[in-house]
Amino acid sequence: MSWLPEGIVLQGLAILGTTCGTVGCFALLRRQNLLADTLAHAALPGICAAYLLTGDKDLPVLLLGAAVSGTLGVWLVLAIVQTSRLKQDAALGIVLSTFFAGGLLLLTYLQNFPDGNQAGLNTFIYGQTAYLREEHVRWMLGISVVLLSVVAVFYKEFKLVCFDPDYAQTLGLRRRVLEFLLAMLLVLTVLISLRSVGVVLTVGLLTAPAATARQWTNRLGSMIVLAAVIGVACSWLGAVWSQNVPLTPAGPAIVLTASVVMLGSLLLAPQRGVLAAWLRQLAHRRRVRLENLLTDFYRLNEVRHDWEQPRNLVELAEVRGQPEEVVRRTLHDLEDAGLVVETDDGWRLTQQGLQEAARIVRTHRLWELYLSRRLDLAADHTHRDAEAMEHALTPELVAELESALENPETDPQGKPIPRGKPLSENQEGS
Amino acid sequence: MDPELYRTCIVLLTGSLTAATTALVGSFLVLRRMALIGDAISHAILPGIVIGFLLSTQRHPLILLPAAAAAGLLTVWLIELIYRSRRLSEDASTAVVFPALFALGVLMIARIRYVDLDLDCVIFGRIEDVDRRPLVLFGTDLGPRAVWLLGIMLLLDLLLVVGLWKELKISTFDPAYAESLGFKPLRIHYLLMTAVSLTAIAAFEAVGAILVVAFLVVPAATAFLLTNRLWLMVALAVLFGLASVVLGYVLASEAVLNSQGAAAMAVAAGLLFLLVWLLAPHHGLLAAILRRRRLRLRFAEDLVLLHLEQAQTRQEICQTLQERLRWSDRETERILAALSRRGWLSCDDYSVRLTPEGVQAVAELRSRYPA
Repeated sequence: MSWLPEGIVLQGLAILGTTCGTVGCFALLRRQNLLADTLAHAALPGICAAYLLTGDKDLPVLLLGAAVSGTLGVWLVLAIVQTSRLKQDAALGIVLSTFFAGGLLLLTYLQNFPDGNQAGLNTFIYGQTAYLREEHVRWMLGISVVLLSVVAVFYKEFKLVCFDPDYAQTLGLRRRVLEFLLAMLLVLTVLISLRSVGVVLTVGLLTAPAATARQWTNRLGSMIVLAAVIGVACSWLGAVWSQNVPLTPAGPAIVLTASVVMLGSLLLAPQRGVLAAWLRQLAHRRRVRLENLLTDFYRLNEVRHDWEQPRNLVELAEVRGQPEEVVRRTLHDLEDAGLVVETDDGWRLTQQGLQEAARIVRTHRLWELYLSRRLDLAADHTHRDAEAMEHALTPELVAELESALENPETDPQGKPIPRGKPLSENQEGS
Repeated sequence: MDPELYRTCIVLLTGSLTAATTALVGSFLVLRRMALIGDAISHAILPGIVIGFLLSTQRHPLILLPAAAAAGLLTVWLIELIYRSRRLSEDASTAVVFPALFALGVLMIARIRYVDLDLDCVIFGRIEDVDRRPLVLFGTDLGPRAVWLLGIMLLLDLLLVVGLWKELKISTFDPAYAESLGFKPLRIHYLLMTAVSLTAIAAFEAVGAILVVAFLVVPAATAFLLTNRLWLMVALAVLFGLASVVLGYVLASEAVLNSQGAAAMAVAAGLLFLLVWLLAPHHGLLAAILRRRRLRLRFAEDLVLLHLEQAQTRQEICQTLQERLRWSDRETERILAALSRRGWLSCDDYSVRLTPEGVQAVAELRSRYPA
């Protein structure tokens, strides 16, 4: 036995992963993942009824039955939401559970017949990846080619309907038709994945790759390609896992793999990832801490215009209201950046540090002035807001503020606004 | 007692306890628009069930219940964690979390291969077999385990709903107000989620993980279509649950379909919902259609009355309405007939005249729509 699953299984999974990834993206953007779940459950009575009526277990017959009852289920959900006071969640729950129960009822009813050859039908409940046969894969390929070409042809329209359905309507697109088409894509995708991963796990395979791709990109085109690739990769990984570890069914292995990949992306994606956001926040907090201490130096020394005056740990800690330990750490960080130096009597701003401190105080006071002049805030209400803005305003904005305020000299409290360049003159003068 | 009769009693008792217990918490799920959280929990407690089972093959309630509660709360917490991080919508985070946990549960079951914990049983339940699994304590057979478990759960849920009635009510209908009153809606939310998880696990042995949803959601939704009063809704939900159990039992009996009991009960619940949805006096489909038709007729009558002053003969009226509103002659005739049935018009083949009552009606209309 090779460590790789059979070629036909790999082919089937490749088709499945591509389709689920692609269609899953649209479902994700339209928030229809749970609708897909309902659809998958609602397909079961159709499968059983098709068998009951025809006595035939050919895939196309069963798929047709599944499509009919799945569509009926979705239609019922819409009807319940539109005509009763129940909301979408209740409608989905009702259709999902009663349709599934109906399927189960038919399935157990079929067991009463002596020739009861219904055994194959419950593969649709659990899915059977390992027993994909050529006939199944051919059908999956056919359906998936149709699906992907529809997506290719209507890509632009689908995109608009997903992101701004009202605008799509004003442009004269047939919104209802497009939404119906998207719903049909979902129906067909669910159908081809039912036999492989089963009723419950289908929704996982539809959601996880698309949700993963969403974390890595903001463009729909690359999201779809990425989701398809991730879908295929996770399906293969899951199948290999199931092949090599005894007593591991493939469906759950695939869905679990996809879910773990999704969780990893949530944490690690470069832009949207939780970790990246946390690091950004940490860096920002550090910068705020450093900049605040610099301005403390400036404000202390400003009183007597003695910019070289060293300051000791105790007074700095008192001004900022922070424990001495925190201030000491911040001072060492500032020293590493070359903004302060340690002397015998404490710490002193370097030339570079003084310039930086002046820049921040300038931003702070300009913003205070702007708030009090343009927004008519009382002068004593502007400080807190400026405390936050002094770390955020860009040099371009500061320049604009300055020209908007006509190069002011003092802030609302009458304190001088330090200028960018002539700091050293100031210093020599004092 | 006749063993067959005893079995019937036990199955009906189990079903009724399940229905009552789930309806109690299910009503609040439906009102809080969290029906699908119930769905997610009932699937995702699967790993909890397996772990509880590994710890105690007898499925001792004291081990099974905490395991399920932990799994259920983990599900809710994970969904909210992902959703709150604003990286996925609530819909998508639900659709990622519960299949993952369910898959984990299925994998665990496949690896354990214990006779009494096959997938079919966990997912669909075997209400027919509850009498074969007794609760044995200190060597004494105390009767079916599921009945005990569900009985305890019913008591707990009753305690929760009765004891925290006003807290649940306010935090369900107006969470902001509940917060301002100091009721801590978040704590109530998690309490309810714990109750849902415990209820789902108590019920899974009888009806399985998927059909629990039917019991949680469908009777409560049915009751919601019939009343605006919370206590009545909860009571009706319990009643609908009980009715679907009896109906389902009959449907699944050997004489009718000879099939799975729990599924038949869920289908019965669905049929009852369908009936109420169509026929409910205020919120039903039929009532809405009739109301709309009545309003349409009323509006058409008003329009004809307002046009009567410009025309006296039948032909003239038909012509006026044809020109102004594009009504067909048949439509106009229909409304004229309705008005004369009301006694506001007296018509013969040629002319149309307002009766004194009709004149009064027109005057009233004019005062309602001043030129």
